[in-house]
Amino acid sequence: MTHLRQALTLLALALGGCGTPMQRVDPDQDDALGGTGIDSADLRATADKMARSILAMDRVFARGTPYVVVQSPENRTRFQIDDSIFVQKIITYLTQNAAGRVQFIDREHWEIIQKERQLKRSGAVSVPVDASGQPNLAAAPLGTDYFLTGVLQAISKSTGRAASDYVQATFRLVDAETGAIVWQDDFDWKKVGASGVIYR
Amino acid sequence: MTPRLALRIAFALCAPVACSAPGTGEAGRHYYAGRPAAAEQLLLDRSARDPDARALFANELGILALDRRDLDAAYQRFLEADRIMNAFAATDAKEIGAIVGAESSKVWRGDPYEKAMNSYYLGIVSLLRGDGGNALAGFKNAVFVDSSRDEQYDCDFAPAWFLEAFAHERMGDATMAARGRARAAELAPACPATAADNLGNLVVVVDVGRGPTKANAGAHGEATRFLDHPAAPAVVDVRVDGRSIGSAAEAGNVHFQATSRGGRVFDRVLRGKAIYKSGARAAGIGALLMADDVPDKFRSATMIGGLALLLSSFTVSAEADTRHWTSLPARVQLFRGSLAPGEHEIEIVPSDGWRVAGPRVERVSIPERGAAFVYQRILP
Repeated sequence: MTHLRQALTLLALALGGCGTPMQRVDPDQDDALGGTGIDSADLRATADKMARSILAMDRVFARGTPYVVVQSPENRTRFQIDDSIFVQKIITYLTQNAAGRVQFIDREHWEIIQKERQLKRSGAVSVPVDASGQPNLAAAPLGTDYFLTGVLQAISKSTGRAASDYVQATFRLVDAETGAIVWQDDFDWKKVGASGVIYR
Repeated sequence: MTPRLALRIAFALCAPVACSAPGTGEAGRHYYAGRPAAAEQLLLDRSARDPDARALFANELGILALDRRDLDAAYQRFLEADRIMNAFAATDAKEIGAIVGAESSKVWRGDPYEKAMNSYYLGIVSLLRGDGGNALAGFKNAVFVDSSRDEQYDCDFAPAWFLEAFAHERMGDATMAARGRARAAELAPACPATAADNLGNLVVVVDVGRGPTKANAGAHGEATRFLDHPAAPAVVDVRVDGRSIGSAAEAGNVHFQATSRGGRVFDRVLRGKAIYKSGARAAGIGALLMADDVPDKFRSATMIGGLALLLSSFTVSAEADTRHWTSLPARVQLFRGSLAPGEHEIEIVPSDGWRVAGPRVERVSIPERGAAFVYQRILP
């Protein structure tokens, strides 16, 4: 009986130890939660590759600092995505690595920028001054040299018991004046997953 | 212990055992009785205590949030369920436990029709939120999960094809939109909304009635069957600014979706467990009946063996998991028509005393180009 009690205690401890309420994991690694959807490793790898690829493109910098509006990529996959997360990550990587060589323009907050401009000009709020003490008011909001756009596409297959998803994230810089595509690159990945027997 | 006493114990063990019914049935009853607040409270209370059915609770809560047009909450609920339902988890102690013990002890990930409906609702909510990309992703995934299974089945849920086409239309992809519309027309030719030449600027989706109920069947509950609740109002009128412009027509049958996907691999496991239960019970009772007739030196061993067989028969659960999404509709109806661009009040009016679950009147802006979208749920 004592042995039985010891065995049961050990079993209870082992089962109790199986649960890990929270742990930090490397966002560049696949987690163990399964699924073939888009995850943090895909996002980070895509944004990193796109940022490096843009910075290596001399043509973009030939006319000085390029002004860029980044648009959310179009989602054509079967996965629910907060597409703005790609935009934010690419901007962050480019800002970190470009050392001021790229100037981004925020169009998401266009309405509040317009409102702030009106408030400053009406005297309702104070106007910041530049280094020489002059009012720092731009004649007009910035126009852009390029649009950075993207699309996420996928080829998905399933047997009901397993699924595979090939996802391609393509980004391009489009000349805002001529429509010319001055740069394009992509990053792709493929994942396969299978259900455990009780879900088949 | 005498063989007679052992037999009495055996019969007590074999008596039907009242099982607690896991799932969301009670919340479903509140929902259909017109008590969504009570349903929601019950779901919130139970979801905290039953993390294995989190996706099921999230789906039910998503429907309630959609009905009251709390679109952000609805999206988050359906997304939470989507993440669980579409994960491919590795075999773990839970899975092994569900094979050895009750199937309902596993993490609920839903049947294929429930996965398709989860994606359908992600699409509906995304359309209402004006998120074209995720609306397309939702309907695409609804088509995807309803297809497959060794490529024997192509998606036959016309509303998913129709709405995928509509999402493509909104994203400016005329080719893919035409393909989806053609498939929807093929599957639901009697529904005027799916006609290839119907490109009206108002699209209405009406979820009608009570979805299928999943119940146990077989001697040990090892099989499942779906009960249909086909009741529907005779007419679901679409009124614009107080005037009828037509009625919605059936395009999809959720009960058919639940019952037309063939069997599961796990059904074979449950059948095997049911056969074992019956066999072990018969052998155990047989051994106890024979115990009086065997020589004394074998009597104890025969009784112990018989009781062990009965005990194993009692403890092995062959019952199939019947947890299911109770607040799904029975049918999906569609309407597509044309209105003058501008602001309009749209009202979905069911006949026969049926009621709408969402706002009675929706104020909709019909654009100069493209189409507006209206969703409504109607209940008995």
